[in-house]
Amino acid sequence: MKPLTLKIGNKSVISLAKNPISHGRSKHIETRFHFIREHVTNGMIELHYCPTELQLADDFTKALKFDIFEFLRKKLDVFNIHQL
Amino acid sequence: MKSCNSVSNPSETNSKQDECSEEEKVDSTNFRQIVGSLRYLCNSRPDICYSVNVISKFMHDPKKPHLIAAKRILRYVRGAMEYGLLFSYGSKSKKNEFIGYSDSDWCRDLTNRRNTSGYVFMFNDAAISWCTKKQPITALSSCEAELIKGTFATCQAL
Repeated sequence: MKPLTLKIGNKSVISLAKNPISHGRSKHIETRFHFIREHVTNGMIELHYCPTELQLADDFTKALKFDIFEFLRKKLDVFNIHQL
Repeated sequence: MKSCNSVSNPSETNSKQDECSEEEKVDSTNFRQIVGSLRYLCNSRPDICYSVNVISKFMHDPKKPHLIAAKRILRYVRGAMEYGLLFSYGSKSKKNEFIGYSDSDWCRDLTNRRNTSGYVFMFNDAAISWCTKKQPITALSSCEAELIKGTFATCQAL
């Protein structure tokens, strides 16, 4: 099966997930949240970095300015039926 | 609300809502009905997902600012009545591409300092699955917050 692409806006998460070694800095993170590592290791998921301007999930985590909001809305394929 | 003036986005830019304990109380049944209806609408409208998430945190004890925020979403919906998700076929269809995006904010919740995170899955450039959720634990770094979000998105993906 082709691995699924997951875009994340934080590079340290990607290195943390790709590198299955535990070290002092990540000791406090609960074990159940290392689930993602397991799936990166066995090739189910592929993590990619994504800069903020292209992060479509931004729409779901903050109240955005209108121009960015409209851009992301278009990206999510939400259209006005009269303007197609 | 039928003849209200519409607004261009569902919530004020960078607005933060907290409990507002000093503010005037509003009719909670009415407020819950509005939130319930908007939650239903969220299933087909990814654009209001975040704003609805914010106001539904105050269902137990709604105050005036929360009702104002709720009405703003209704005004947005009024202006965006003709909008909907488009699953296009043909012209721009790609080879069944499936991409997930995950993101989390940093301490937006003023009362318990937990993060809000969101993910969206796109299939051939159209959103098919999305979610906004407050994380179950307090994260100590934004890296941890993103990792938690990544885990949730992974669960959904599988």
